[in-house]
Parts: sequence; structure tokens; C-alpha cells
Amino acid sequence: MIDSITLDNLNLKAFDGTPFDGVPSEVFCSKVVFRKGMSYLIEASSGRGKSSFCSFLCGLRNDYTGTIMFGDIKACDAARVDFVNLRKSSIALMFQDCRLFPELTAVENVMLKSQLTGFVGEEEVRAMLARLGLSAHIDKPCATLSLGQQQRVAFVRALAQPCDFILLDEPISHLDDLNATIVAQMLRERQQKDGIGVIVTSVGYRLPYEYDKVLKM
Amino acid sequence: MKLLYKLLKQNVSVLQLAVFMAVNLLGGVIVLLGVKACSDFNAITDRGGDILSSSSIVINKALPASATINSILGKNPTFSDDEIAELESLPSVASVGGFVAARFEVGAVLSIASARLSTDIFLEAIPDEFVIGNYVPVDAIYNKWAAGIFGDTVPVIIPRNYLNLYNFGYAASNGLPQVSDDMIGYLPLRLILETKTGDIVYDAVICGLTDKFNTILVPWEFLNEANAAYAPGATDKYSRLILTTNATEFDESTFSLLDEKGYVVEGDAAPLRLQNVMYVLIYIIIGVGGLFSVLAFILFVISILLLIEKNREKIANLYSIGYSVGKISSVYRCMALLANVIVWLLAAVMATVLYPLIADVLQMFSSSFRHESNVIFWFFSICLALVFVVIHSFIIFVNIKKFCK
Repeated sequence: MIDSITLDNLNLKAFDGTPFDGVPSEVFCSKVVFRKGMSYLIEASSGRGKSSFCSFLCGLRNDYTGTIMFGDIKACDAARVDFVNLRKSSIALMFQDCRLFPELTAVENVMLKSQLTGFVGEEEVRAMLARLGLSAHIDKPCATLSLGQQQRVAFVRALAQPCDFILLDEPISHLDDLNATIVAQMLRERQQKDGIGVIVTSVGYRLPYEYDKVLKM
Repeated sequence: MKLLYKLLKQNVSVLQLAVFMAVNLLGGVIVLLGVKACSDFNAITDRGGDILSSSSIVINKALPASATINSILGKNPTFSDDEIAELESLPSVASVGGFVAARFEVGAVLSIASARLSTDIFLEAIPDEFVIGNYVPVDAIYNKWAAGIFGDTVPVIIPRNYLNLYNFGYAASNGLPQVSDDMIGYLPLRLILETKTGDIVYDAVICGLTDKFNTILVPWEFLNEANAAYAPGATDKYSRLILTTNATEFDESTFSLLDEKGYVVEGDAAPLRLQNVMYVLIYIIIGVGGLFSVLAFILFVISILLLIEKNREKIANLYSIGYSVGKISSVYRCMALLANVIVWLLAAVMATVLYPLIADVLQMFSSSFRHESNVIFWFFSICLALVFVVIHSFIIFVNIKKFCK
């Protein structure tokens, strides 16, 4: 179980020791602690490293300087298998580009994730998809869904696993206000139920949520 | 697993898989047939030995026109110690042993069903180490011979011709039952040693049949003790010798050398020469089969690598949502397992069905050739399938790991 994620002087190697464009950042090149049970919004314009930041936290990239700590454990000391387990049951990530499998249906995409841990059953997955207005598209291949529909499937997939933190990388960039509100409601319910930490990134169009802290990247 | 399989089976080329299986099957069947043929031939020349087991020949001196008169005068063409030493020094000769004959008369009584066959016979012996590997033994008694423990029962080896003569000549014309190789060890046999002081009777058992010697063999120790006890005084001179040589070195020049010295190879040496040719042929066949299998192996590796390459994005995505390399690769590893198991099972079945046909041809090389147990097909199939699966799985795992970043 991870109680906190600490970033100490984290920065992209490509930024060469200073924040992007020399603009001060509250995430890169500084010390930040994300605590379980709290919610954070990270705001930044395009290209300032939001997706890179999410990939660093999930162990999908390591082209960074500085330190990431999961509780007391340094990320650089973790083995490949540790990160696999981290993604499976400690940190849920919703990718900005969704990364769904186009040949699988909406429900299959979510179940593919859920089957790893058996966290939620198919009926519950169908109910979550339906709640986000996807009733008619549940059994359609994701290749046939619009970007907004895919974004909702990707969100449900992120919920379909046990976790301590959930990272949502621009989760509503293709959603209308109504669906953004439903996403926020479902996220809040999950946070209240399991006490997870929530980290959301945004380029300006915020997920309507009660954030404990807003950080400028 | 079902969803994972559904996702990753995309882009599987049925044609490539079918070609792999067909080529591997062909190669597998050829390899299995070759290995089995080798094994069966080895069973003749060296029970339990390896492919390069030693072989042997029996030689005697060519009889001159005056042989009969010389024989009456007690001058038989025997090998002197110098000649034996010279033979031992030949590079292709591993060891030399002499035949010792009984110096007293011997009778034998054999009971088959209600019939009681009695006849005068002769006995010979060679050092025990030469016996091993040159006859078809009945296992239990064979062990007794090898250990030198025969007690009151004398183990005897007879030429296979004698059994054939009985089965297809005497038994057929006298309405007696035929006797198989396995049954002959159970027939009650008595040896009667006719000595100056009276007949000595021994229980005996036929413990082996030979194609190599045209004589009746008893253990070396038994005959030497009997000669010393019942016909003392005379010294042994060897008129026949057994030479062992390595089968791979048993070439034409060895026979030429023996011809030069005026020694005659007992029986026909052609089968031995033919046997060498046969071994080379079998090795070539195994090589060709092996080549097919290797090609199939490479084909499968290339196919699976192409498949992994086509699915690299899916693999990377699966990894990013929490699937381990082991779990992702399990789909392809299962495919490799299934394909190899099917191929090698089929290969074993086909080899089992086809081998009797091959065995008929191989019998032309040696009349003693026997089609023995098919267990070797299954043993080799399982071993080769395991090897293929392990190597395929390793290659799959390593290549999938490359895309999991």
C-alpha cells in the first residue's frame, strides 16, 4: 500500500536541469508530496510534461532526474516486476490518448483490465459504462466509438482496479459538461469509498472536483 | 486469458503456422525413424551400447590341400603366439581371443513338448568378455553369464541357424511345436560329458542365439575346468580367433590385410561392410530430418517474431495497464506449446505406423534385425518437443520484453 508519493527535484532529462522555458513549476524542480485520500489538480499548458509526469509515476518512463518516492521506497530501486504490480494494484492511470484496444468492445476493454485482479465483475462494469451514457455502445468495438466515448471507457477502465492513487491525464478533454459531472461524481464516490488519492491533470478545462490542492506545472 | 488471447491472436498467419507444422512433422518423422533404426541395429551388435559400439569378426587360417592328411598327422593350422601378437598390434584390432574346444565327447538331450531330441555335439568357449555384444540374449540368464555365476546350470549359446533348422525343418516335418527366441531359454537341456571315468551330466540352458559364431559356446571357465579335469595334459592351440574392432574403423584395408596374411574371415564379411554403409546412410537420413526440423524451428521463430512485431503496440499497451511480460507472452508460449505438442505427437504416431515398412528394408542388412519396442518414439518425441517448447518460449519471452517499456 502506498500512503504518499513524494517528488524531490523531479525534472525531465530533456529540460536539462531547469523547468520548461524557465517558467517556475510547482511540480518540476521542487519538492511535492501527494497524500492518499487527498485530491490534486495539476494545471499546465500543452507540452509542459503532464503526460511524462504520469508515465514517470507509473514506471513507464525513466528519463527523468531527481527522485520519486512511493512511501519510503525510491522508484529507482524498484524492479520491473514491482512497477507491474504497482500499475496492477496501486496506481491507476487513465491515459490522455486512452490507449484502448480498437478490436475489443467497450466492456471487453474494461474487463481486460479488471480480470487482472478480479476487482469488478462484468455486470458492474456494464453499469458504470451505462451511467456514462454508453449503454448503446457497450458491445461495440472501440474502433467505432468517438473520442469522447473512448475517453469515458478509458475512465471506467481506470476505475476497474484496486489502487491507492488514481492519475487522470486530461480526463475530460473530449467530454461535455454533463459527462464531466458524471465522471466527477463517480470519482468522488470511489474516493469516499476507498480513500484513494486523486491526481488530475488539465490544460485549462478542469474536471469539476473539490481539489485539496492545485499545482501549476 | 480469453480476452488476452482474443486480442493477441490477431495477425496470426494460419498459413505460416501450417507450413511450420508440416515441415516440422516431416523432419520429426525422419529423425524418429532414423534414431529408431540406429537403436535397433545397436541392439543387435551391442545390447544397450551406443551407436559406435565395437564389432567383431572370427578368423581362421585358410586350409591347404593337404589339410586332411595334416589333420590326421595332428598338424592342424593353428595360430602361433607371434601371429596372435601381430594381430593384436594391428591398429584396427582392439583385442584378440582364441576359441578353446572341448577335448572330450559331448552329448546333448533337449526336451520339446513330448519329444526328446538327443545328439552328439561339440563345445567351444571364448573369453567371456567377447561374448558380450555378439548374440541375442535371454536377459535373466545373460546376466548370470556376465556375472560368471552359473552354478550347476551351464549357460549355452547356439547359432540361430540351429533354431531355424529345428523350427522350419525338423519341427514342421515331425509335427512338433515351433520355438520362439524368447521361449528357447525355458527348454530343459542336458549336456552329457563323456569322460574316461564315465558320463557327467549337467543341466544346461540356452541363454542366447548368435549369428556371429557357427559353434556352441559355453563359459570359458567351465570348459577350461572341464578340459583340465577330464582331458588333462594337452595344451590349447587356437585354430580360430575372434577379433574385436571398432565398427567405425572396420574399413576395407582391415580385410585386405587379413587376406594378405592368408586368414579367412568366417562367414560372410559383406554384412559387416554393408552394416557400416547402413550406419552412414542412417546418419545421413537423421541429418536430413534434423535439417528439416531446424528449418521448421527457424520458420516458427521468424513467424512468431513477425507476429510479435505486428502486435508491438498492443503489447506495450497491455504492459502499461498492468500486464506482466510473463502474462503477455503466455499467449504466444501456449501457441508454441500447442503447435509443438501436436507436431511431435503426430510424428510419434506416424513413425510408429511407418517403421514396420522401414524395418522390412533394414532386415536386408541383417537377418538378426528386430523391430523392438516403440517406446523410443515417444521418448524422443517428448524430449524434442520439450526442447523446442523451451527454446521457443525463451525467444518469445525475450522479444516481448523488448516491447514492454
